[in-house]
Amino acid sequence: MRKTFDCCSDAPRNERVTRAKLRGGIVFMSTESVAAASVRAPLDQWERAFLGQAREELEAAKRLVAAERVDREGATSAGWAAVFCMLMQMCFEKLGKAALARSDRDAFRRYRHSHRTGTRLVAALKQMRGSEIHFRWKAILPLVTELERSHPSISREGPHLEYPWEASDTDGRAVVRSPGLDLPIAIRLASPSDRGAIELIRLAETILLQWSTLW
Amino acid sequence: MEQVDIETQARSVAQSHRQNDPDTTEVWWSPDPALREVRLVEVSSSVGCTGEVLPFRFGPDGAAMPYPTVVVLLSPEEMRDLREGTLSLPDSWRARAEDLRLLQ
Repeated sequence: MRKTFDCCSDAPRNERVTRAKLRGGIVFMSTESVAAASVRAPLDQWERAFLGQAREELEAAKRLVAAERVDREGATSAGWAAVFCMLMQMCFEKLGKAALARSDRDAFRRYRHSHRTGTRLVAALKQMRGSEIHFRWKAILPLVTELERSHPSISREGPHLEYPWEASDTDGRAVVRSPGLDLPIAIRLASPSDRGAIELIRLAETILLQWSTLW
Repeated sequence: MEQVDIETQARSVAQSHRQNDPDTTEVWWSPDPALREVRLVEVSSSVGCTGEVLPFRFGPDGAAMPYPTVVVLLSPEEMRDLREGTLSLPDSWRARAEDLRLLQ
C-alpha cells in the first residue's frame, strides 16, 4: 500500500496537491500556489543540472566553514554564517527541485521556480522507512524550514538572507539590519555550542551520496 | 572577568553538543600545542557516512568561549576508519587518532 503523508495539512482543501514519489511510495506533497513554468527539455537533464548546482553550493559552503578566518575589526561569526545559511538554503532548494524533476513532470513544472522545495524533500526523507539516511530529524527539519523562510522572496520585509533590511530600534527609529549581524538563524548557527550547521552539511552530503538509492 | 582556559572551553562545547545530540557517543579533544584553538572530534550515530573529515571552524563567542573552535563530526564507521588510518585528521592539526584525548 502506498504510504502518504501531508506536510501541508493546514492548506485549504481546494488547493491542488502535487505529489512526488520517493522509494517505498513516500510522497512529498505541496500545495504552494505558483505558476507552472514551461519545461521542454528531458527531465533527467533537469535533474542532473539541479544536482550539479546543489553540489557546487554545498562545496562552497564546505570551503567557507573550513577556511581559517582572519580576525578584523567589525567581523562577526554570524558574518560567515549568514553566507553559509544562504548557500545551504540554495543547496536544499536545488535538491528538492532535482527530486521533483526525477519523479513528476507536472510537479516540476509547477515548482521549478519555487524556493520552498527543500523543506518538502527533507520532510519526505524523514518519513521514509528503511532508508540509510538517519538524522535527528526533529532538530534538522526546523533548520531547513527556517532557512527557507529566511529567503528574501518569502520574508520580504526581513529578517532575511542575502540583503539588509529595515527595522525599528528600541526607540522606534528606523535602522538598517544586516544578515551578518542580525539574522537569527545565522547568529544561532555561528555559535560553537550549536552543531546544527555541521549537521546541515552532513545531511546535504548524505542525500547527494545516496541519491540513486532514494528512489 | 577571568579568561576561560582552552580545556574548559573544549569541555563546555563538548557538553553542549552532547546535550543537543544524545546520540553523540564520543567526544575527543586534540590539544593545540600553540593553544590557539579548541579542536574536537565528535562521534554521533545520528549522522550518515560521508567518508570525509571536514573541519568546521567557529569563531570565538564572547567571554565564555574566547578561542576559535574547530569541530570534526564523524559517524561511528568514520571514527573506525580514522583509527585504522583510512581517514586522517586535518593536516594543520599535525595529529593522529592515537593523539586524541577522550573528554568524559
